[in-house]
Amino acid sequence: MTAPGRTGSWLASRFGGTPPPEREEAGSGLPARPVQGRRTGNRRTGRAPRPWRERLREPIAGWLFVLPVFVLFVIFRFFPVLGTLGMSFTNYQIDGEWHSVGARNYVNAFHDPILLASLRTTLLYAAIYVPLTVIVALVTAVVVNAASFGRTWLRGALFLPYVTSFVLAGVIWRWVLAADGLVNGLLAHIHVAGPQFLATSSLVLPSLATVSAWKGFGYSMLILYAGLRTIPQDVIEAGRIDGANAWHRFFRIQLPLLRPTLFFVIVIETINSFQVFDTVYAMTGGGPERASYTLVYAMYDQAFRFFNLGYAATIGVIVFVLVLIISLLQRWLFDRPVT
Amino acid sequence: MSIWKGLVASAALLSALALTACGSSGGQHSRDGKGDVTMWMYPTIVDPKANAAFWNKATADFEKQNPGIHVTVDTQPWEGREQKQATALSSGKGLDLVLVIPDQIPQFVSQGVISPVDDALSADKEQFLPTALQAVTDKNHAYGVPLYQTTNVPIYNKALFTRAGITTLPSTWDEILADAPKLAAKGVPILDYPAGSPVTLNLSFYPLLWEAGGHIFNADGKAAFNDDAGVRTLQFLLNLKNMGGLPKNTVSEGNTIEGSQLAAGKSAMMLAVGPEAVGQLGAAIGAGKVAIGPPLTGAKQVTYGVPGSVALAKHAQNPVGAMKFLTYLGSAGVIKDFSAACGYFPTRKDVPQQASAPKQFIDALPETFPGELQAGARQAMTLISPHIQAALAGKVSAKQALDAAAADVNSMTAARR
Repeated sequence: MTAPGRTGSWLASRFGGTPPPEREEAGSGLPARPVQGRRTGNRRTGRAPRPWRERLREPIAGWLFVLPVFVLFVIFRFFPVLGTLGMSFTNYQIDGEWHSVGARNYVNAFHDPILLASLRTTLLYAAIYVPLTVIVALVTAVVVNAASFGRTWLRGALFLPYVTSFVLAGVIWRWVLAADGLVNGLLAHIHVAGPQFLATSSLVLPSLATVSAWKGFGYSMLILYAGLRTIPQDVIEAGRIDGANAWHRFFRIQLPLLRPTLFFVIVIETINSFQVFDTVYAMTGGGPERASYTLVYAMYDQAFRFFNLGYAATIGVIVFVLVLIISLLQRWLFDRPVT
Repeated sequence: MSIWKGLVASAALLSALALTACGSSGGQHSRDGKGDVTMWMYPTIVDPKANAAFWNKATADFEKQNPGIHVTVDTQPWEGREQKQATALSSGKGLDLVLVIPDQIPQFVSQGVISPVDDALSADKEQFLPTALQAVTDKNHAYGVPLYQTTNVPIYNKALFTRAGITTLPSTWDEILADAPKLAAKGVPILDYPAGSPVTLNLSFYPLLWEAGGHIFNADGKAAFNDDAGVRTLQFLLNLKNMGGLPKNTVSEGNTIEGSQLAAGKSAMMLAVGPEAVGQLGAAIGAGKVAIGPPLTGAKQVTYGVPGSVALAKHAQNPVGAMKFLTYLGSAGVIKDFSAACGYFPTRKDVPQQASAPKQFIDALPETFPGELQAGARQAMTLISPHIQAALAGKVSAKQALDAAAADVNSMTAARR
């Protein structure tokens, strides 16, 4: 039994196994097949180079297949982003009137105490939400992966909150976390005075992050579960034979191999945390005392309550840049080759 | 699949998408008003079946009188009303007519997204209640046809008062302050005050402020709520809180009966509710326990209420047809039938009150105030609420909270100029 590529080498050094032979087909444990000569048109096969029309055939076909989605992406994603960027330099009014204001919106943004407070709130929310969601998603993915029966049912049940309407779920969660709601009712049974989850500034963000994690972890769980399924069983088996216990097998084998998937999940959840809106809208309206007033909620307020569309666009651009910077930072930190 | 087949398939898909996208446009615009008219209405008639029955009959009658005009009344949820209206009015799509309340009118007028409707009222303008007309008028033009008049009065769980040994329900600030400790001794906060976000202050802080003799804005349009009257108002709430007179979660409480402490039988009264709340609270705690009273009296007696009026979008696809429908909506027959269906009050002098209308609400109509109507009034609520919450959380004094809120509101109004 052998392990693929660099992971196999690591296993070998960690558990004293034999390094895998070169040119082995990844994960299969079989010797690599010879390179197919047909249509390669290179020196190795000795065939003449294909004409340019034939060489372009496959790339063009590929582009044609993605063309509808690409056009939609350009129309509904790319242009709006450019439009938002342009709008952020105007005082765009609700009736369509606008004048250029240069960088005034950006200057105002960096001197707006409410917006700066909402940035702090968003960062704090992200710091709670992302680890919470990723850990819950990872644990549930491992549990689902390890389940010997009822796996499909379990996966569906855990994914259910993700497809639930949050307006309805928000009403239920408000009741669950209300002063005299379900949680405090249960605490009262053991003679503990429950806190005011949604009416206390220091508790509102952890409460909202928990609710968002409940709703959002299903998606990440599925991604991580799929990632776990791609890890070859023979690698795990090799670890088991080499004496690794379940703890070691998870932390030393599965988790490192899952790192690219984990990186994707962390980036997606970080983006989600910066875009949090529905949880705040449905449960607290930004309160109490703006303790849950996030950047996107501030953007919504500026656009649809204050009708400062240019300023709202500026906040949108700031959120975009922040997410981009944090994603690049995460890429630099986490997206390294699996070793 | 060959490249050409792929190309044809892509082109067909894109064409289909383009056609789908274009399919919803195509407003009809004619000089005689023939074509479609769309009105955004809200569930003022709470029962969906009664609501559908009323509008089906009203539009059928109108269409019979005006062949060639087809009216669609789209009943939208109250949730997200301001945002959806703002988006639709600015984009010029989705509606010709829309139900608005008076403090939205100066905002929409300043943004240039609604048009005057004087012509729809000209035939019998003198028949409308002067207060209703005044509430829809901005810069000497009427911007809405008043369809119904609301008012709000306090509502009580009288069983809780009786249990605390209180036989007369409180109707003044002093009486509330006197009764609060008696109810608190029974573990009941007297006032279910909705200080949550984002709850309109029209049904919470503002009526109390007006009762104290205060104003939100002064004549220059600057914040005036941090004067003595404003501080007295907020201090009244803080005093109540200190004596156990407000629910612990008051800063997350909404202003609907559904889900409230009052409906749960855990709080004794609410400041201001409409007629529909009587039945809702009755269903929750038992009709026999529900009582309503006159508007509260502080330094003076006043309550909040508005004419719900229908405004014309500036970008209406069929303005002529829409004006014809507006004229029809303002007729005595429609207003009479609508008042009967929704339980609110007629906006015309020649339409008598419904015999079944609760007397306390009818008596409150003369004390009903539509709010301080100026652009930015609704936005100010968003800025004031967090400071009131901070005071209720005990972090700042009433004066500090209102001064900070006034600074925020004045910054906003300065930025608008």
